[in-house]
Amino acid sequence: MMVTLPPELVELQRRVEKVARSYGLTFFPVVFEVVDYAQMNQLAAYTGFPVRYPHWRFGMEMEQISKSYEYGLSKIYEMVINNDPTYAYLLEGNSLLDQKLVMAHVYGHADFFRNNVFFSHTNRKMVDAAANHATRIRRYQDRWGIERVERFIDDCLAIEDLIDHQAAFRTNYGLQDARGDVGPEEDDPGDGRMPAEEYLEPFINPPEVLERERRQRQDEREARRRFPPDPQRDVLGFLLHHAPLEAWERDILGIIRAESYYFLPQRQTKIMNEGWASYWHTKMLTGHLLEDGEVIDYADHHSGTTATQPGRLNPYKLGIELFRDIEFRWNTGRFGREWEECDDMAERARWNRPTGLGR
Amino acid sequence: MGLKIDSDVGRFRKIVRGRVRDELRRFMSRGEMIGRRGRDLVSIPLPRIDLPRFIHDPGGQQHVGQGEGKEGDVLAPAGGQDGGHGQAGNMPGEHILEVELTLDELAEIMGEELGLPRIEPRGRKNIEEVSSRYTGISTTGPESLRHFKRTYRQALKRQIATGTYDPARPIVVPIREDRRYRTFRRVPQPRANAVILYVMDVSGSMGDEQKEIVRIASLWIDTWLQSQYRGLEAVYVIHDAEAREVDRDTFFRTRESGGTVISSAYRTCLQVIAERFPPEDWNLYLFQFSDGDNWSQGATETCIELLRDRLLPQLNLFAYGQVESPYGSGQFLRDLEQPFADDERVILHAVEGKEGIPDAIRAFLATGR
Repeated sequence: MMVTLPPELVELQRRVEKVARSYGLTFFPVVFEVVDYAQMNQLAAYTGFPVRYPHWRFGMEMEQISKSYEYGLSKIYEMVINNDPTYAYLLEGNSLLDQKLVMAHVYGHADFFRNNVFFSHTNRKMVDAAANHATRIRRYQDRWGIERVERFIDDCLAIEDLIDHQAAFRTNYGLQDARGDVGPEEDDPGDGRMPAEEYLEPFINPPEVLERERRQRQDEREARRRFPPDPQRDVLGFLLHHAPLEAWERDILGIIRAESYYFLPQRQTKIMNEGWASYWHTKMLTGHLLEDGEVIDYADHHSGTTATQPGRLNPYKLGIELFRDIEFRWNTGRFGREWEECDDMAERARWNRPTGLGR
Repeated sequence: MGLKIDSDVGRFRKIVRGRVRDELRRFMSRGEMIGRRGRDLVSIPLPRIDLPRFIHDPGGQQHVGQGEGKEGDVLAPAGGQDGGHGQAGNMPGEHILEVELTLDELAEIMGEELGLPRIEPRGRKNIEEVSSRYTGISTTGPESLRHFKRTYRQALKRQIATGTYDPARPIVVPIREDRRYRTFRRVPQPRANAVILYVMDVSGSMGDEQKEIVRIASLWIDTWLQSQYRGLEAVYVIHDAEAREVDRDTFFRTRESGGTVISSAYRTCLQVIAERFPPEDWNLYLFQFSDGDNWSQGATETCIELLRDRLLPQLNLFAYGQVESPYGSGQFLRDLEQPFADDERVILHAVEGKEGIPDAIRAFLATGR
C-alpha cells in the first residue's frame, strides 16, 4: 500500500500546505498516499481505514463500489481520515490539477477535524485502534468460529446507531450507574400465611398456594421496577454494562461502540465539513495555486462537485453557500441590533458597513 | 492483485449464494426474480440481505411550520416517497439489494437444491467442434504472430554456426530465414448440442396465469439445460387448431381463440426436427404445456400414435406439463398416462399453480436424461 509520493506531488503538497497555513488553518501532520482504484475502492469500503475487522458487510460495500466504478457511475477522488497524523489518499492517474484540488480540499478537512468541537472527543489514533480491533476480532473468530462471531457482529451492527448523539456536549460523558429502582424491599406484606392450628396448617395454608402468591407478589414488584431509572440514549453502552454477555462478546460490542462514536461526528457534520473543505479549496486554488491553463478545468470540476440535482441535497453546495453567506454578512456588518431593527428594505439591500469581521 | 478485503467479498458472496438457495423455491414460483438478464449474468433482487436497522418512519416526521399539534389534527400525510406516485423516489428505505450471479452458478444452486442429476452425455449425439490452439511453430506466418524468442534463438544459432557471432560484441541480427511464427493446430472437440422444443397450447382456454407458469418454468428449464449443454437452442411452437413455429416473444404473448388440436403441434415439431435438428447430431427435448384439452378422442389417438411411433424414438425426453385452468378438462394427461406409463422417456406432470413450478421442474429433469 505504501507508495512513496512522487516528487511532483511532494512539491505540490509543500505549496498547498504553505498556502493553508497562511490562511491560518491548523491541522495534524497530513500524510498523502497514492493508491490505485482497487485500493481506493477497498479504502472506501472500509470507510477510509487500511484495515478493518473481517465482516461480510465490507465485502458487500466493496462489490457495490467496484461495480459502480466499473460502470462509470462514480469515481472516488480522495479519502481523508480523521487521525493524527491525518491520512489522505490520492487516486493514481489523476491529473495534477485534480491532485492539487484534492490536496487543498483535504487540508480543509484536516483543519475541520482538528478544530471542530464535534470531533473533540474522537480517538485520534483510530487507524491504529481499527487495526487492533481487527486483530482482536480475528482472534475471536479463530477461537469461537467465524459464523458465531459474525452473527454476533451482525447483531451489534443492527443497533450501532443507538448511541448518545450528543455525547460530545455532555460533561459527564460516560455512564451513570444505572442500577434499577426495585422499590423498598422491606415493605414485605408477610408471607400471606393465615394463622392456624398446627394440625390444620396444610389445609388452611397449602404450601403450593403460598408459593403461588409469593411469586405473584414478586412479579408485581418486578413490573414496578424501572430499569434503568432514567431512559438512556447510549443503548450500546447500557448493553455493554448490563447485558449478560461473554467476555469476547462484550469486547466486540465495545469495539462496535467505539467505532460508532468515532464515525458519529462525520455524519453529524457532513454539510459543515464538506462546506468548509470546499470553501477552502476554492479560496486556495483561485487565490494562489492555479496556473492560467488550469482555470477552465478547475471550474468544470468544481462546479461538478457543487452541482445540485433535483431532489438531492448536495452537502458541498449547501455547506459552501452557508459559509460564504456567513462571511458576507460579517464582512458587510449585517448583524447586531441596528441591522435587526432596520425595516427599510432598500437600506437593507445596500447595507454595507465595512466591518471586515467575516474572517 | 490480492486485497485484504477479498476475504470479506468472498464471505459476502457465500452468504448471497446461501440466501439464493434458501429462497430458491420462492424465486422459482415467481417471475420477478430475474431482474435483468444479460448473456450469462442474472441479476437477482435479494431483499433483507443488508443488516436490519431502525429507521425513522418517513410518514411520522414533524415538519417545519407544523407546530406542536394537538390530538385530532388532520394534516396532509407527509408524503412518503413510495413508488407508484409517478415520480421516482430517492429514499433508500427499501432494502433490496441486487446481486449478480452467473447463470452457471444459478444452475448449480438449482441443481443442488432440487437434487437434479447431471445429464449424461448420450450416444454419439455430439458434433465435432474444431477449436484452434496455438501450439506449433512455423517458418512462415503473419508478423503479428512472430515468436521473438525463437527467432532470436534461430539467429543466434545461425551466427554461431557461421562464425559471425562475436561474444565481445554480442549483436544478433535476425534475417528473413531466422524468423519463426506461432501457428495453431485445429483440435477437434466433441460438443454435445441440445435443442429444446417448447410446445404450448394457446387456445382460448389458456389464460394469462397459465402462460405465466409456462414462462417461468421454461426459464428454469433453459437455465438448467444451458448449464449442461454448451450449445443450446430453443424452438417455440404454439398451436390452437393449427400449429406454427414462432419466436420467443410471440410464444409468450400470443393468445388465440381457436380450438385445440395437439397433433398439429407434433407434426410441426417433426418437421422442424427433420429439417434442422437431425437426432444423430442433437439431443432433443420436447416440453409441452397445455391445459389438457384436445379436440376429440380420435385426435388424441392420433397424438399418441405420432408420439409413440415418430417423435419418441428421436427424443431424449418428452415432458408434458399440464397447467390447471378453469376451462380445460385436463383429459389429455389421463390419456397419455395409459400408453406411456412405463416409458422412461416420458414425464407427465400436473403443475399445480405457480407454487408447483419447482416440483414440476424437478419431475421433468430428475431423470438426468
